[in-house]
Amino acid sequence: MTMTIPYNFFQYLLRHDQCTPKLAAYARGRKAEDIEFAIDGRDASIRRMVASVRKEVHMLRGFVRLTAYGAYASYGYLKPRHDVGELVAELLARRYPHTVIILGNAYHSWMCLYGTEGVVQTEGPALASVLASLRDMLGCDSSPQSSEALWEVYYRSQYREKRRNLPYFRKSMTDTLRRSAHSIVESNTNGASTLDAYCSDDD
Amino acid sequence: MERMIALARQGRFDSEGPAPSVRPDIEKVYALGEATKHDICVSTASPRSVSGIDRIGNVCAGGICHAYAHDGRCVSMFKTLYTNACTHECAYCSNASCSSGGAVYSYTPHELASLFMDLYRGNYVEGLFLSSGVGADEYETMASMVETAEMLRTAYRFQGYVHLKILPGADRDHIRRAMSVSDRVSVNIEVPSSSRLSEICATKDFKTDILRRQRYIQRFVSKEGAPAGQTTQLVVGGAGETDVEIFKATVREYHKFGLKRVYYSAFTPVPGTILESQCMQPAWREHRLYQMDWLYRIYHYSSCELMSAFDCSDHLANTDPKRAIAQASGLSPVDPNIASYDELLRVPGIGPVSARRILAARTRGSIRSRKELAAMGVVMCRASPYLSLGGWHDSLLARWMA
Repeated sequence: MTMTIPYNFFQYLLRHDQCTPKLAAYARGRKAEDIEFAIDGRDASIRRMVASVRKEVHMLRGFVRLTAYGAYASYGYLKPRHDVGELVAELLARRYPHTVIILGNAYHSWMCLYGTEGVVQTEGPALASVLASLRDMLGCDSSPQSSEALWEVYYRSQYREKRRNLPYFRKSMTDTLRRSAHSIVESNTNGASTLDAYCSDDD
Repeated sequence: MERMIALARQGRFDSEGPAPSVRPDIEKVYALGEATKHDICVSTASPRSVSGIDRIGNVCAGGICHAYAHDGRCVSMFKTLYTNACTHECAYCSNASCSSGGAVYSYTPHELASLFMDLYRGNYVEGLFLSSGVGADEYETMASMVETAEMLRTAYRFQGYVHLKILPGADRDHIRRAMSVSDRVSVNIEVPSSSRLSEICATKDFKTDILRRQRYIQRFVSKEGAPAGQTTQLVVGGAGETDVEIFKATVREYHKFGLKRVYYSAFTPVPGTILESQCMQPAWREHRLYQMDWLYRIYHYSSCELMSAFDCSDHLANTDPKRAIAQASGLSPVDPNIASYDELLRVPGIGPVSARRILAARTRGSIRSRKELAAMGVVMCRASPYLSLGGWHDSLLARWMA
C-alpha cells in the first residue's frame, strides 16, 4: 500500500518549528502506519506537521536560485520556516556533484558537497561572512555569475495574460515560500517593467 | 569550508562542456520561449534511475516545480522552440507560414545546450522541453534537435530530464535517436480526427504524419528508449470539436499507443493567425477534460461510465464530473465499513488516498462517525449524500423527490 508518510517521519517532525520535546517523545513510540491512518487528533496533527516539513523541502529545492562562485562553489539565499536548510543543501549538492553548495541568510548558512567522499556537510555563520571567506580563498579571479537576467526573460515569455490567475499563483507559490527563497522575479506580480506600465496596472 | 573546496577541486570532472560561443540573444530567448507557452506538458517525473558523481543533474520521481507563472501554471522546464520557422499552415499557430508572424529565429545546438545549462546550474529549471517549427524541412530540424539533446548528454554530461517533441513526418531513425537520449517524447495530435485536422491544417496528414509517428514511438518505447514514455496534446475547441470527440480521441490514444498522458490546451486566438477572430475557449473546459482524464486513468472508470457526464450537446457542464456521474447513475449510499475500494472511489469526495485510509482503518475497528472520515481526508460536504453510517445517510433533493 502506498504511504504518504515516510518511515523516517520522526526525522521530519523534529525539524518542524513547533515540534515540542513532549510531542517528539510521544512520536518516538509511534509507527508510520499509526500516523498515516490516524483518526486521533494528536497523530493526525503529527501527519500534518510532517507533511508541512516535507512540502517545504520539496518546494524550496525548486525555488532556491544558485549563483556560481568560481568553478567549485555555488551559493543561494535560503531562510526556511522549518529547520530544513541542511536537507535542501544536500538535495542540491547531489544534483551538482563536486560543487560546494552554500545556502544561507543573514543569520545562518548550510554548506554541502557531494563528491568522491560521499556527502560532506557543515553549518556556518551568516551567508555574507561565508562568501567573504570564500572570496579570500578563491582569490580575486572568481566573481559571482548569475543567470537571473536570462531567467527573467524566459519567465516572462511563459506568462499568458489572458489566463491571469494571481490567486492560484499565490496559492502555489506562497508569500512565505517566496520570501524564504528570495524570489524577486516571481514576486513582481504586476508584470510591469516600466513606471508607466506599473502605474496603469490595476492590481 | 577550505576542506570542501579542496575536495571539490580533487574530484572535479569536466562538466562545463564546450565554452559558450556568444552571449545569448535575449530577443531570441523570449520569442522562442513565448512560442511554446501553449505547450502544456510540464511534468518532469521520470522513472529512470541515475547515479554516479561524474555527471551533472538528476531526475526526481515526483518531478519538481521551479516557479509558477502569474497565470497559475507551473514553470518546471526550459520550454523552447528550436526554430519558429515553419512551412505548415496550421490556422491557430503564429509560426505558420500563412500567419503574419514576426521575426524568424533559430538556435544552433551548441548555443541552445549552453543556454540551457546556464539555467540548469542556477537551479532555475528541471529539464529541457524542446519543440520546433519544421523549419526548411522536418528532416534537418529534427536532426538538429536530436543533436542538441545528444550534446547535452555527452559534451555536458547532463543526466537530468529531457523531453523532445517529434515533428510531424519525422524520420524514423531520428525518432529512435531522439528516444535514446530523452526521458519523454511526444507528437501533438492537436485535434481528435483526420476530418478536424483538414479544417485547420491543409499541409499535415493525420494518419501518416502523426498517427504513424506515434506507432513508431510505441514500438521503440517497448524495446529501448524514453523511460517516461510518450504523450500528446490536443487543442480544445480550435476546430469546433465537442468534448465527446476529444474524450474518445483520448481513450483511443491511451489504448492504441499506450500514452502516459494526454494534455489539453484550451484554444486561445493568436493575433495574426487565420483563427484570430474565433472565440477564446474557457479555461474551465480544459479543466473538466483533465478531471475526466483523471477519472479514467487514476480512478479506473470505464469509458461507458464516463459518457454519462456529457450533456445532450456532447459537451461537459462546468461542474465536477465525478459528482455529475454519481447523480446521473443514481449512486446509492455506501457503507464505508463494508464497501470495496472501487465502490469507495465512486463516491464524490473520496480519492485514492482517503479510500486506502478507510480500508486500513477498518482493520482496526469500525468507522462510526463523519468526523473520523473527515480526519482520513474525506471531503464530507461532497461525500455525505453518498455515504451511509449506522444506517443513516444524508439525502439529495432529487433522491428525496423520487
